[in-house]
Amino acid sequence: MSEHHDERLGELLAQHVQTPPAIPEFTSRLWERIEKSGKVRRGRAAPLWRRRPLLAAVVVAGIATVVLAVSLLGRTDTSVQQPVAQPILQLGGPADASAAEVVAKVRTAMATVRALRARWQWISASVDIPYDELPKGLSVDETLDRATVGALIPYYPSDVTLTDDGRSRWVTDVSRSLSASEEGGKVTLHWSEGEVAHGVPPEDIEIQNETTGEMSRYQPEMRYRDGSRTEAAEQDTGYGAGPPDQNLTALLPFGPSPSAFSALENGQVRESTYEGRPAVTIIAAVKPGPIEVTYDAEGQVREAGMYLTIDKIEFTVDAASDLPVRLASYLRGKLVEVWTLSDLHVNAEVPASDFTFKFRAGAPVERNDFGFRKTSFGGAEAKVGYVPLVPTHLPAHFRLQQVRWASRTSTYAQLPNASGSVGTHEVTSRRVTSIGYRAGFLHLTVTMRPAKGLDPDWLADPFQEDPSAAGATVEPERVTLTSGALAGDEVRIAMPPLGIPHLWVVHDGMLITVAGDATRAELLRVAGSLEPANTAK
Amino acid sequence: MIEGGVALLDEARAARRDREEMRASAHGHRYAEVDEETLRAAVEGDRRAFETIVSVYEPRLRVLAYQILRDRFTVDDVLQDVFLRAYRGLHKFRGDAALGTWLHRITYTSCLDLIRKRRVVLVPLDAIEAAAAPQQSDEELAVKLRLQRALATLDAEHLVAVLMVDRDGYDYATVARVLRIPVGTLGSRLNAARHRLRTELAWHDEDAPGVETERTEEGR
Repeated sequence: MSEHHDERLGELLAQHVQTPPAIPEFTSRLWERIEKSGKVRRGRAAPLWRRRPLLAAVVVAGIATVVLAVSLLGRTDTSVQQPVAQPILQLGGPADASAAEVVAKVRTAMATVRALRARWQWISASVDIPYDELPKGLSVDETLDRATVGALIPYYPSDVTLTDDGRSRWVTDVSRSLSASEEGGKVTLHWSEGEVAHGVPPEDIEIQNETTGEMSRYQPEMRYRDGSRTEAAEQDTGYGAGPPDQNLTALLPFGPSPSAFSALENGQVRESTYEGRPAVTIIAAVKPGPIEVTYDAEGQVREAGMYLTIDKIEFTVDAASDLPVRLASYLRGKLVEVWTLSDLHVNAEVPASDFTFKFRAGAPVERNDFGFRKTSFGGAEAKVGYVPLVPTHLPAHFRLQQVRWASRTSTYAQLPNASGSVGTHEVTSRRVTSIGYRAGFLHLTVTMRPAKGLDPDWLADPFQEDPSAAGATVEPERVTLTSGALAGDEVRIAMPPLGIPHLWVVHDGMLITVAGDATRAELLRVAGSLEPANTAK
Repeated sequence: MIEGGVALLDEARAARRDREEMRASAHGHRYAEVDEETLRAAVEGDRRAFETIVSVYEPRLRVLAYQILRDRFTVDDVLQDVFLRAYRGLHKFRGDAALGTWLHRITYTSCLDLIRKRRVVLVPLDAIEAAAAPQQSDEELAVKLRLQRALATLDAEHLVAVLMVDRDGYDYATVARVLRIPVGTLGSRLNAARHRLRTELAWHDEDAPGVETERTEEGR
């Protein structure tokens, strides 16, 4: 797209957007803090672990949902009205099934479900660790003992409809402000009609987002009390089959559940109820960390962070459908994050009328193309100039969904870290194949792209979204494959407890990735079964 | 014309001149990035070089932070954190990575973190009115207040988009990297933000040149 700078508006903004001056001692105070914290070391930067993984799915939900939530936080909460959702967990006696058996049931249910309607909700709080004030050499536990958990921040609930062929529809009504409170392990949401503390508040906002596999359409509408409206619709096409080029929308209602399975398998099972329905809850300890603190010569903290700042998860499964309905994360007994599905309708008929998204007449529509096109294995080979590797083994219920290729991915749909660099350096991927497999709501994606000249030892995790600001992965494990086209190759596999399980390897100048809703063993088995598409059976 | 009006006109002319210079600059935006030599010196611990970096970026980051947070007492704290993080992380930069983009990104995320933690965005109207220069004409004051009100209704993402692109003249790719959104989405955010501002200012969109939108026939 060509760039447009609104000169008239820009001049007005330059003229009237005023900023208070800096405090007189701004620079001297800054130096005080720098000197207190120590000097910069030279050399390669250590990985910057962050306290929690990015929830890629939340990004997919519509950045606008989050931003709108933030923008509306200015509403005063003085007139709290009726609670609209009360996830209640009543623990009962031990259930008969083991945690591993429950997890297996959930995986099967998610792999075979055909359709779902529900209301999705996500609430989170920040975890703050005062690294600068901590003595050296503390263990992860000792560090977390000194952490504080902030207030719960609710995101607007969405009504979602999903089908196993990749269609999804989200409708979010953010016409009122929202707050959350927690007491005795019970989270309550509150709607508030309080006035926004400034300007002209939006009085009616609805966000619609629909994905049909081929395209995603998004339309927020904000109507203001002075009669004006803001609407900026968006249509995205050219998706890759899945990560790392594209996040997937379909799994969003289930949050990070699939990747939490391995932690849950060793948990304790309890019978419970959820929204009055019989349920089963697995309570599992999670190993927090790793923590990384580097010090300078004077012993001051130079860089610090932690990947996972939770120590327990509660996973609640609807007994009738075996589908997950709640995943809560805790630190020292305090709720850090929870997502819920309520008003569940499983395998209910989804009429075609549910997917009749239409842009509002006259709405300005922004159209984005991420660069991927559908093809066949043979077609992909002709277009990208190499024979794609395909798995000859797939986990139960999975089947081929689509083969896609891109001569060059768009700015967004790319490997942010393909160069192994940090900061904002980015490399556009070329001649990419992206092969998607699907089982119900579960996904698996195999991608390939030329990676000549890249030293695998310096290649950062291709799935790590933002190396400078938000590390989203864990230190990968190195495993040597013993079968298939990659036999003898050392892959790097990462199983982030609340992220996307994935592995990657550079083989014959090609970067190959396998990622999705699979266990470590399944991912390795899929990678070890890769064969050229023209010889695979 | 009253004295205040002349001052405003001069200010506007200066802003226009800056913008023209920006267009001619190799960086494609209004403000200069620090040169590689300064960056290298700062990485090596040269205090003066780091202060140059602070002096180059602090004003524009302050605008951004203040417009998002609307709390003058918090902006200094946020910017202190930003530059502290920058100081610690300078060694990560190579010649091909724009320091300005990274600093904007840190500022933006720091502000959002703060908002999320506090759950409140303070935009007292009296503060806006108090900020109006007393020598401004009624008409100028009215425009300014309308603009401030409209800005106050934008969320952080739309705010950053319109300030960085239209006020500061940054290119789309840079701003998209700061916000971590596709360039196309940035265009969409810009259109929405401009529409909101124009509406508040009682301008008409059709008067705006180069608005890149399509009018769909769907839903008619």
